[in-house]
Amino acid sequence: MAIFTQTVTAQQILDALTTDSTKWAGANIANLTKDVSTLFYLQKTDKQYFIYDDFDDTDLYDRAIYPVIYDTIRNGKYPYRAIAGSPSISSGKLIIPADAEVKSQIPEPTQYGVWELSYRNQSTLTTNVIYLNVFEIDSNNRFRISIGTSSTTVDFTHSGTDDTLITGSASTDTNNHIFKLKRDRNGNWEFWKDGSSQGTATNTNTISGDGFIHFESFPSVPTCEIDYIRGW
Amino acid sequence: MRDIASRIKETKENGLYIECNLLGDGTPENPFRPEIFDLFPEAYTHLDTVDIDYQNKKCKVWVSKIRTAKTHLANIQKHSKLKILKETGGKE
Repeated sequence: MAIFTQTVTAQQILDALTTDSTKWAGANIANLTKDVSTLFYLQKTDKQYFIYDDFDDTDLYDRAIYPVIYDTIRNGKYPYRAIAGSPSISSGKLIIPADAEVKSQIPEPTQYGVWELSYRNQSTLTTNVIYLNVFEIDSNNRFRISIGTSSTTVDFTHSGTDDTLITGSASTDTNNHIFKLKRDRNGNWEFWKDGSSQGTATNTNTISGDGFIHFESFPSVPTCEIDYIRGW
Repeated sequence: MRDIASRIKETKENGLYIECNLLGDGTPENPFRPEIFDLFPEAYTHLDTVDIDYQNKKCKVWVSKIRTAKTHLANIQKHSKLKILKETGGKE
């Protein structure tokens, strides 16, 4: 992780975590796994993430997301699975070539909150679309950020009907973009691109069930990179 | 982070409330969306989905006068496919 240059041991991290017990009340220290950089990030930022992955691990199929739910760190293992094509992890990024799909299970409560992704096209997008489903139960119930040729949109599919809620400027270039989507429990939505709000929406429909993160690219789109995904 | 409700309030207090066609068929390839999303994807909007009339293929959308570029606002106001129902926060 970029913010962390000092070498520390897992024990040092555990010591740091246990120094301020109020900050980590409810955390099951015994269940903490050995991803030092992830743990350090969580401790350093004092933010309670329900999803956090910086893709510093190199194994697509063995990469864990560490869910933090209700102030309890669970020893969650939610490996990514390649559904189609040849997604991979390289140089700390999730790499999604054209016509590929990759998904990972996430816990149900994560359908409310804030999702933040660092995203980049390796070449200019000129056709088709790339879907970043940040919460998907199935193809009839999900919401996502859609990277299209003329705009970047937030789409919500509920009971099989797909609505575009918010539209923002296109993200077809090769610059790195930070997308942030917030959904609150009152049915309000807001979407940011590179720190700038792109619009708001109200849609009080709800979906429920176990969910997935699901990234999906279509044929002839550029290979894209996701540097990190965080949810809180 | 500012809460979403206050940003929605800001748009409704300084905005154009417009009516336009509802495009799409609700499929992932062609989602339902207000036509202004295709015409002016960079306009800053607030869409409340209770304002979508799926049967008659119409919908109403708020456009922020604060967060939408002036050139887009001018074009939105004179666009033949967009009907302004209300303006708040003083005339542009």
